[in-house]
Amino acid sequence: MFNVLEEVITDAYGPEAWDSLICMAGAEGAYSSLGTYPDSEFHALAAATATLTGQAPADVLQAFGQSALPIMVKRFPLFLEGVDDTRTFLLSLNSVIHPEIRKVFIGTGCPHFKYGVGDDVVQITYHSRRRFCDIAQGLARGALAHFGETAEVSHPECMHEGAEACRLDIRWAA
Amino acid sequence: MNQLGKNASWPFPESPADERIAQLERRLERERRARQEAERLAESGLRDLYVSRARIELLNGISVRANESDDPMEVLRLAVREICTTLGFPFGNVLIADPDIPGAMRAAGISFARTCDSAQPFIKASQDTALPAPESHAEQPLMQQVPVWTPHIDTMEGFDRARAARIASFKSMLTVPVLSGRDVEAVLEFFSMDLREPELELLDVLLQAGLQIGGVFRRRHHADRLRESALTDPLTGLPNRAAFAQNIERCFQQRREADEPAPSLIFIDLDGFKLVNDTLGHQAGDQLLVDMADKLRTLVKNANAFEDENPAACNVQLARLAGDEFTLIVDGPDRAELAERFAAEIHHSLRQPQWMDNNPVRVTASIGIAHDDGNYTTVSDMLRDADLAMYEAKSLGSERTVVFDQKMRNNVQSRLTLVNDLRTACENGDFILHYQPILALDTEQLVGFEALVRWQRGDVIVPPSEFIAAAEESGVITLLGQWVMREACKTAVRWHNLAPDREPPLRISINVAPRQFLQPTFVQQVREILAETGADPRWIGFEITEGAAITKPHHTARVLEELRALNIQVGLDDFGTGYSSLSRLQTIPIDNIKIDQSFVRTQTRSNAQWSVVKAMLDLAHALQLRVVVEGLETEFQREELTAFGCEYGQGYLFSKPLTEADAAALIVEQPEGPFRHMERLISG
Repeated sequence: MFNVLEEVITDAYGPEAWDSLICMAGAEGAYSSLGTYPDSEFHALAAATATLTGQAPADVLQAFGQSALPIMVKRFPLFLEGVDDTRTFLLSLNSVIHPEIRKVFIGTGCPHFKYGVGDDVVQITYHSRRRFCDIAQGLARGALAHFGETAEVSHPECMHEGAEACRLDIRWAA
Repeated sequence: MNQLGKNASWPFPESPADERIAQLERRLERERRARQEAERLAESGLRDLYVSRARIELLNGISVRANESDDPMEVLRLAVREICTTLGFPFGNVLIADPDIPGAMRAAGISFARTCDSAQPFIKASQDTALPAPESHAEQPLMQQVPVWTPHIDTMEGFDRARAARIASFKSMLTVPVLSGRDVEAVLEFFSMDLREPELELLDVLLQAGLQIGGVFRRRHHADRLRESALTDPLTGLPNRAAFAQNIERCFQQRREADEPAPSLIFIDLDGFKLVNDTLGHQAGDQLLVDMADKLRTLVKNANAFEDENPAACNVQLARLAGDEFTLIVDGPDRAELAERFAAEIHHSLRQPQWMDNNPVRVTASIGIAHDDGNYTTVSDMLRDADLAMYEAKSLGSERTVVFDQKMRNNVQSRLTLVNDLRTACENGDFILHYQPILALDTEQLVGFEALVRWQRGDVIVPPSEFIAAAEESGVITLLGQWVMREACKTAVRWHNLAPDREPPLRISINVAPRQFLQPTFVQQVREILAETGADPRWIGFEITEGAAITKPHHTARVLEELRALNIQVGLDDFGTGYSSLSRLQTIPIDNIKIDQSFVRTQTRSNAQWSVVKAMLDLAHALQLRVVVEGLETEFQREELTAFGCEYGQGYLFSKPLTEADAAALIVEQPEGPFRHMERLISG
């Protein structure tokens, strides 16, 4: 995740911007894709970004998720092999993408999603231990953009707001 | 919401750019790309490592269980679960080869599912699926010898679960054959919602897993074949004695537990089978047994076919116990009636002669039946009774059926009591010997006695005709025989003391039963008894039957030579009633023959037929054997036999068997002279 953030920031603002963020957040800064680093450091980087860009932290995380998806697809082409649309992509998270992530990043805790599926809606309910539900929303939007689809992404239940679990609804226009 | 940087501006001004900075930035960019490439390689390596380790663990887990287990179903259950879990298949199902239809497969009742509700119809259809033999069904992947991946099953032609697969969102199928040699024993089918084609390495791992499971099937088949051959008679293909024992024990216990009567038992023994073997050869005998087995099989098949229409009617099991012995277990409410009908049908089926080597061969059967009247507590009692009934049938002549009944049970009981009492009598010495004088016919001089055993059973003196057969059958005869030999030797010593100078000495003839004579230690017993009693071997002689002499010719020859070396004379008893040919006489080293009383007793002055006796005398004399006749009752018989040159005789003409005291008195009164005072002794 740290590397993806670095790539997103560097792509958008250049390498100095990333250096400045690391200084401002007081973060370690040397990240390898295979390493594991504290979530607090990620939050500090996101907060610094929010301060410097004048955006709300949640918006920063959502924007990160949306920008991260094409980067991840490029880095892990297996994720989308045989997947032609957002619905299939979302439904394959438990069975394909998370197992693939576990194969490479040993020890990574991926949440298990429960699906509610309708003709024009996919509801994803999950218990977010790391509370990165904003990134999840961004990823869903990134996927829609990747497949060139239009759908409404909402987050009607959120653990940040005291809900038992987070729920994301992705609703396509009927 | 905007993406980062699209419309935002970075708040810090850029550093002044000079050449040095530009170089450093390019270097930094190169480093960043190198790092990303290194990370990509490391990630790919880690993934490969993870995947191959998971596959090795999967294959290892299945192989270990396959090598330990002898239950293919258990291993299949483990394999389908482990493959689904490790490789992320939401549903896996097992089909096994249909044992009744070659090439057909059907669901094994083994599956693993981790799916949502919409997959239930597909799961149900898979668990019920049955596929006909390959030429007529489209699911070819199932019959391949290697794992096969099939995409787009939800639209596949001829896949009868396609609709259910669509509802379940299953898009692809991976089949893994379980092979034993080239036979497909089972197929594991896995279903997936995605269309990613599995890697070749994975297919290879699954092929190996299938082969490992196939090994369990192969071992099971071997074990089944071994068990089957251990329970099958190789000649007729019928269940053998071991199978019969298992079956009857199981039936008996089941019926006992249900408090119901046990099945009826039929024992069948062929009459005249030995004759076929002896005259037409073993091949013909074997053929006869195979034909008999076929006949019985047909009868049983007809009965069991009747049972199919009426399941409660009966259950008949056939077996070959040994040689020409067959048996039927007849179970069901009408078992008694059915068993007796079977017996009648068996006799009927044997009426037509069979042709063997252009010889018409007709065998018949003796059949014994035992029905359970609720009194049997063990199977072995029932077996014994069916066997006894069969022997009773045989003793009545051929082609007979005897059902074991209360009378036979009483006979058996009294026979058992008799044997037990005999055993006790042997231990207590409750026997006495009587002695019948033997005379030289020409001089009428006393030459010896035949020792005859009597049983002192309480106040009653039991003659040998009532207990010798039981003693022989039960083996008590060997104990009894030793007792007789010892007592006769003791008597010989006492009598020698009465007339120590008598020359030649009186000889006591002792009857030796076949079972006693055939004991490997017989000569040793004789030596011990002679040593123990102090009897001179010349004071005793043995009489053996023809049967004993010919049963084991080598043993007989050796024993007779050893007895001759001990200076003990041996005669052949009951001559003319046995089975041995006269020519055999010259091969048996004996000293005399005793012509059976049946040849003498019927001869009267008005109606005498001596030709057979004369032939026997001629033969004996040609072989330099002396001849004793028994059963002499008239003066006419004595005169004639004396004239023919017969040396010795015994019978009521001279004396009935005497107590030891009377015999001793006779010895004292008749030292060497002619035998004159018998009337007094007989009447005394």
